Amino acid sequence: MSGERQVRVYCAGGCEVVQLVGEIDHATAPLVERDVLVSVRASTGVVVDLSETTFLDSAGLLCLDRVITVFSDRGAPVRVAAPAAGMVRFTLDLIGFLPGLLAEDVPAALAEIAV
Amino acid sequence: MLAAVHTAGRAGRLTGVPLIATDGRRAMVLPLRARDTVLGTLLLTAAEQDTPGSAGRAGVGPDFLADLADRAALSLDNARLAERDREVADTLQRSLLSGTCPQDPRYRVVTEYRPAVHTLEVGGDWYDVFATSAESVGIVVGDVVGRGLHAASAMGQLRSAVRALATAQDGPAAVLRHMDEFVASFAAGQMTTLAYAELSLDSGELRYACAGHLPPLLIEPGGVPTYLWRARSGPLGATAAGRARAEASLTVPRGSRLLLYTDGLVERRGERLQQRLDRLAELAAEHRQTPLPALAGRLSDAMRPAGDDDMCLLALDFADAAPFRAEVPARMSELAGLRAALERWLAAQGVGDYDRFGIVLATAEAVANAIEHGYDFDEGRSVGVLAQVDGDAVAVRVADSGQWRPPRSALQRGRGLTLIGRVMHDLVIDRGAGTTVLMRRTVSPGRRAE
Repeated sequence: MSGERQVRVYCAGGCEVVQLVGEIDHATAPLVERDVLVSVRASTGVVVDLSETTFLDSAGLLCLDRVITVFSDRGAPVRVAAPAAGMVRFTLDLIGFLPGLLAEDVPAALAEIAV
Repeated sequence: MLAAVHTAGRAGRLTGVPLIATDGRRAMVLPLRARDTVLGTLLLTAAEQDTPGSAGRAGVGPDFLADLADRAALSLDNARLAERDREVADTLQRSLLSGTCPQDPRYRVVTEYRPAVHTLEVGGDWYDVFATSAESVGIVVGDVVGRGLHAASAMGQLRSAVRALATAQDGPAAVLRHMDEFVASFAAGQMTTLAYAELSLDSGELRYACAGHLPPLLIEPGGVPTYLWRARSGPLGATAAGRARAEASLTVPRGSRLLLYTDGLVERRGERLQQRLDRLAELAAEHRQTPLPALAGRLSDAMRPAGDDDMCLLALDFADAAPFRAEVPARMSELAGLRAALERWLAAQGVGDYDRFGIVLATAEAVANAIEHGYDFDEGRSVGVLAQVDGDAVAVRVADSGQWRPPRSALQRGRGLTLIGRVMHDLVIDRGAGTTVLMRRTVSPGRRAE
């Protein structure tokens, strides 16, 4: 299992959307983290889209934590899109992920941080 | 000397041989004759040495003693005949009850048959277990009225009939209706009582019907033993009893135990039936953890059946499915496969979405911990995973044989364990030779709903 094709980046509403696809776990999280950090400029705002993420474990959470820290340090507002009923949201809730950073989906996230 | 008595006895010539015992008492040896054979000899000795007072018994002559011996021989012969009938009936009964129980990991059955001990006759109690389809098992316990060879042979016929008729997909009430027709065309078997139940091994649906028979006892995991009092109708072929055959159904959780039995187990003269049924339920609760193979014998012993009727008992365990086992090579890339396999297993146990996801997450975290901190990514090692349904919980054991190293990075420290702690309701980490993580999550009651 490799991290390629697990990260998709596109622009929407003047922001960058980073879509993480599939399972982000101990095996894939380091590669995903590297791919995200090299492919996102984070000049305006960033949405990390987890709606296509099927699994997130503690390594995935650590990865998420790091990229959010990096983007915030660059001065870009960040939101995480994760559907409320999904399993990824279950993990985020378990760890007590900051509710203020969470949005239901990409449009809702963009609406919060759009310039 | 005795041989001489036998020979003479067979010839019908000799009635007795007078003897003098070593202490001087008078004695006599008499042949025990019945149906032209000598069964044995009867040795009679005077109560005391001859004294003047014994003259009053002078009336006890050789003819009287010969007659006494003949009567004793007749009684002995009758007893032997009865015993032989009993043995034949017992052998027949047991051979009719023998047979292979279907082998299926989804349930287990144990049975116990005990003939009456206080009467010399064998009854017509029976039990049977058979697959009614690939996904269901039928169990039956019945009691044919009457004793001895007739009852045993009638039992054999009825047992075969139930087995044949129950293979159809009609359900318990229809099986009883067919049995009524069978009994009507069959000279024996009227007033037979039986309890029939069919368990669907996928859904846990239990359909049952009792024809004049005592109710099955259901012991659900974590529940109070409950008698299944619904679906009652009269004995087979009984014209006076209700012939409208009823059936009932309910869904029983995996890990449930079902007891079917005949009245010989619970009926005791001088005790009310309800008390005895309560006692059986108490014992069933006490023996909840008793493994099935030992259960039937222990329950039968503890109930102390009166022994004037035969009894049989059938216990079925609706198995919690086989545990999940995996040896995971110490590579993070193995985690995805482990998660998928565990997920499938949990889904097959009917564990609901969030419980399933939480258990998969916690297990994968524990394995990742073992790979990282137990084995330091030594790919030649492996981590053992065992998951089991245990009552209303799922228990998971993750074991490595490595040397624990503390996390290198403060950021990583305990993150996986934090997740595990939040997902699982019990967590024990045992660091001895290697690390063993034992964790349990109580799953929501609806987990087994279809």
